Amino acid sequence: MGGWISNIIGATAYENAAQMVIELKRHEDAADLYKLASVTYIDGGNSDRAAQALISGAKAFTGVNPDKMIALYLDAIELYETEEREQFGLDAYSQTVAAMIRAKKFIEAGQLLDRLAAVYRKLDRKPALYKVHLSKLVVLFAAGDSVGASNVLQQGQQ
Amino acid sequence: MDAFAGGEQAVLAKVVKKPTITYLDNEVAKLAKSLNVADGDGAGSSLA
Repeated sequence: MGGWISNIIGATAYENAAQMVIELKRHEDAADLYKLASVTYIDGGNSDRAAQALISGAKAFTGVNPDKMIALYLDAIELYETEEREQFGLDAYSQTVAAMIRAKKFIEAGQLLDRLAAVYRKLDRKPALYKVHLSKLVVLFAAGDSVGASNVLQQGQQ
Repeated sequence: MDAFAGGEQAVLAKVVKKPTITYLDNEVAKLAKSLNVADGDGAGSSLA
């Protein structure tokens, strides 16, 4: 059996185990298992599924621990960025920004929106880029940073 | 921007109901609706 196949089987087993421990409300254990699944997928050369495993781990913390949820989402995003496959992780950016807003981490949300703007610039998706700029304006106003908001507006007009 | 600079809550309330804002991702749109010009602090303080 090829090494990559055993990697996939192993990683899938970790994910299945994670789903079982979520039902037992052992969220920390679930996150660890998803991280193991992610590492195993990376070993097998499947970075997209590795990132998706981290996203599943993040979702396991929904309504339980926003900080850990955000950290796992950011790990997934970092993986997409490292592998230069950001276009496959766009949902992860939106979900992380939403989680940050719910946790009132407006500054961090603004920083992540900058990273998302860079992705859309790279992909030359202008309508999505303008949407990100507008989202950043809202987030900066929420953070009370009207100077930063003014700068974003000026950048958007250029 | 002008609504914030001028501290005009009514203008801001009108702006955040525009489709350009409501079309944004759900959490961002909800955050926009909760913005408050009071004290120039935005929602960060008013929602706390």
